[in-house]
Amino acid sequence: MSAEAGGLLGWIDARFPLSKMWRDHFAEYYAPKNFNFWYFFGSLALLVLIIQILSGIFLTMHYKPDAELAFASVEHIMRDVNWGWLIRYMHSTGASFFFIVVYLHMFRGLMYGSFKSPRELIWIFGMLIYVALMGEAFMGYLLPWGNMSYWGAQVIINLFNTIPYIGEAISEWIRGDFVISDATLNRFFALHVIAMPLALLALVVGHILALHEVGSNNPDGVEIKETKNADGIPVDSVPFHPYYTVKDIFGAIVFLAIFSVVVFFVPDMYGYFLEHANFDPANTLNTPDHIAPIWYFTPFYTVLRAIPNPFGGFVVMGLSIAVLFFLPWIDRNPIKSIRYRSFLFKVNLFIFAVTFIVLGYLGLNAVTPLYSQLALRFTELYFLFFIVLWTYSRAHGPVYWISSFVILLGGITLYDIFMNTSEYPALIWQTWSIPAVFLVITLLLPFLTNLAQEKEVPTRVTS
Amino acid sequence: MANDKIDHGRRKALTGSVAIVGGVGAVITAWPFISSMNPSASSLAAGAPVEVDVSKMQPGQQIQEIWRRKPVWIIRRTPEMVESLGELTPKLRDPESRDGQQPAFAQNEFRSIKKEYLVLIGICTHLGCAPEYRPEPGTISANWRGGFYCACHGSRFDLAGRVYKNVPANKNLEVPPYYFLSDGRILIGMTKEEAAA
Amino acid sequence: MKAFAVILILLFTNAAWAAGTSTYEKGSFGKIDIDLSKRTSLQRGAKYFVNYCLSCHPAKHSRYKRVADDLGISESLTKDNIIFTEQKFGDLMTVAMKREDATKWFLGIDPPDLSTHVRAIGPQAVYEFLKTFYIDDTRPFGVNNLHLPNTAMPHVLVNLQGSQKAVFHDEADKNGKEHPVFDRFEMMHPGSLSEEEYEQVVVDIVNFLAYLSEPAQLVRKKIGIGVLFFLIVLGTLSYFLKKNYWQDVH
Repeated sequence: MSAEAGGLLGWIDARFPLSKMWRDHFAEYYAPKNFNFWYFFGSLALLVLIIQILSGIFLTMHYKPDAELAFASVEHIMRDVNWGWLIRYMHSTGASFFFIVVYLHMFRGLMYGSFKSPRELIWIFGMLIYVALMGEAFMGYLLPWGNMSYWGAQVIINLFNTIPYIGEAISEWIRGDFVISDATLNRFFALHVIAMPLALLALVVGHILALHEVGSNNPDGVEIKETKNADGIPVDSVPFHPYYTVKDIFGAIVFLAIFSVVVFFVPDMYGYFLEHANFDPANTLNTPDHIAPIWYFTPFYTVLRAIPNPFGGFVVMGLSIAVLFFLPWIDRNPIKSIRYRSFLFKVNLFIFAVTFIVLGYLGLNAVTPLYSQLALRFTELYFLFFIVLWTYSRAHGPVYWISSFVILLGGITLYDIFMNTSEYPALIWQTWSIPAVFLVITLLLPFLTNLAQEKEVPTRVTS
Repeated sequence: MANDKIDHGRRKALTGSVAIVGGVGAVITAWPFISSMNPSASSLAAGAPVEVDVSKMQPGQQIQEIWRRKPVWIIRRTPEMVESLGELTPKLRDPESRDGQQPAFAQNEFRSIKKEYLVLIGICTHLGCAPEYRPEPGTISANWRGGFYCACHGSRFDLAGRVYKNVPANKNLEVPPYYFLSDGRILIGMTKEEAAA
Repeated sequence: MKAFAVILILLFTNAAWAAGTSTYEKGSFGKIDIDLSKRTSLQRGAKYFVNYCLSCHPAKHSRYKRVADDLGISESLTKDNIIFTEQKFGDLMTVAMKREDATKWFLGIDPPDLSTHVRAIGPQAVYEFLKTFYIDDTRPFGVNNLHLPNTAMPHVLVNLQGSQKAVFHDEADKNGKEHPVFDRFEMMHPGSLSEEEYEQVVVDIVNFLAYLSEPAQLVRKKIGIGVLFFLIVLGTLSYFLKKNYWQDVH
């Protein structure tokens, strides 16, 4: 397309595909013209990754991965190093914002069916990034060597103890000691600053290459490549540069403003981003009053606690993450965008979002009999979302809906009869109504009403 | 596409202003990161001036202090040592200390505030080895008058830290800023003028 | 409905258990209002801190010089009034090792480091702690504390505040069991300060400790306002840039 460049650029282009890469990924990467608000979060995730890497490099210059020195070295950064407090708050705030951005980015994918064919690999890469990010965040959280760092890591690594026969050996191998110790801190440091960032970068490259191979989805879920003009360019597209570069720059600045409000005005976010107990140094003999993981892990922590059997809880928690990988094969409805899917699909997705937030809330709080029942019910809702999603893949007759309803509610009821360990029977049956009502709405309304009616998908994008 | 309606001047102006304002922001943002690599408060505290009591030193004795993690020598020269300094002039490369290797107050034959007390940074000006204090005449060579000898590459300095001719080192040993708090107490790391400011 | 009552009772009793160690209503001694712009309060707080706290509690992540610079105390004033040990101006505010060992032997615990611990528990906790010492002859130092029952710490400010007696009355809980509940304090031997003056001393100390927990607080918000102002300018420009380019797209 563009003429052969001369001069230095021409010299480089003869040896390295610089102009070609620019064209392929920016100037001549044709993105749908109808991206909305939800499409900011991909580029914002990249921005946060850059913030984390940059601030992390400078923290590493002053941090000491040694159980005797780590806590003091963080305070040294906060007080003695020029601007150290700013760099540290950028990193700690960045960790939370990374998850905020990634969760919104994933929810966008759910809404507009961005994981569906031909974008399954993009989703898989994204899930791998998410899992790597959780590992990165978990190991990073140990490094300040505060009392919550210490006990949080202790509790989570002890989860591996629940694996039959080999559990203890595995958790000792992870720790390199019989409890969390200097050895653990040292290896978590190595993994946090080298191994995981390298893996994350590689996965991000894979994610973007896969995206640019098939092209971006959009809020209408229409394949823009199916309508091209005489030059072979999709009619409903704009080149990424300059249109989305200027748009994303604006988005990035709005994001940075919100980010700065936290960094400069509420860096601990009232104990949600920096837990207060972590301002006391790790104390091997004194547990904080209430051990709660940092907020972005609490939905899964609740799932873990919802199952009384420790190993069972560990497995179910693993499943709650693993099931996300299979999303492209669970939701097989050919309609991608929420705009053209049924009302009941929207209800299901909305309840899933609420469920995730409730699970997160429960994980921040101490267990009470009520909360432990709610944890169980919302864990059930979490998994039911995927099953209902699967049933919404195509139209079914009443027999299918009724039998699905009976099997699922029957399974839940049987669990309550034989395995629910709550000492308050009334509590069991009252909270039982949560999944029951959910199943009535999602599995019985499809044939009782026309709420499962889907809309016709246009051939071109609408806005 | 309605290209005719677009004001390209305005587009250029906006692109330019975003680039300039954004560039200024990027430079300002870089500053905290660059600044974080400067010596921290702990390094500065560790490099703070050091007070030394020299009142109990014997004539001819050398003591070593640490200032900014560097060895600092204090030598109480005997009258004979002080006298010997003037006789060496032709053998020295920079006998009048013209090279800025000392604060202004030490640009004299003795390279010190008081003739008796020599304060030096004990790092060879050749490649940074640690010279030895060899006050005994005739030890390094037959006509050795006492001074500092660097075993690494054979550099020689007199008892004022002035470098001899024809040795690898080409600068006199460095004199740190210092001043006398009182007759027997020296503060190393600051000149009297700096302390007063 | 019955189940709901069960839940309520459970939640309620849970709360009572959680609060089981303290027999007074938190916050009933007033709320501390941290104001780091009051430099004289911070300076007085620093002086009380080194006089009454630092002999046992270290602030080992903080440097005298930083405190002096932030609070506008000169080097010579600091050396005369703040540093009581052989330490230098740039040194960390530690407690001499011998003294630390002696304290540990004397009290049986390590007094927490006050440069970070206050951020962990919050200034309100320190404020209530310093106001709620009372005479209790069963304790090693003859004093107990409402906020932190059976604290190992003696009432170091007793000469200022005076010693007060706590009056309790018994109250039955839902199960009919009697518990002592705090009623009021009665001053037995007044100290050198009036109640208002002592309140000011406590406020100054807590104010200083809040500063000491995070010295960057003094500048962070000011810089933040500048940063936000800059981002609003840049954001406005980039919004118009975006709008200008997107006129092309129909």
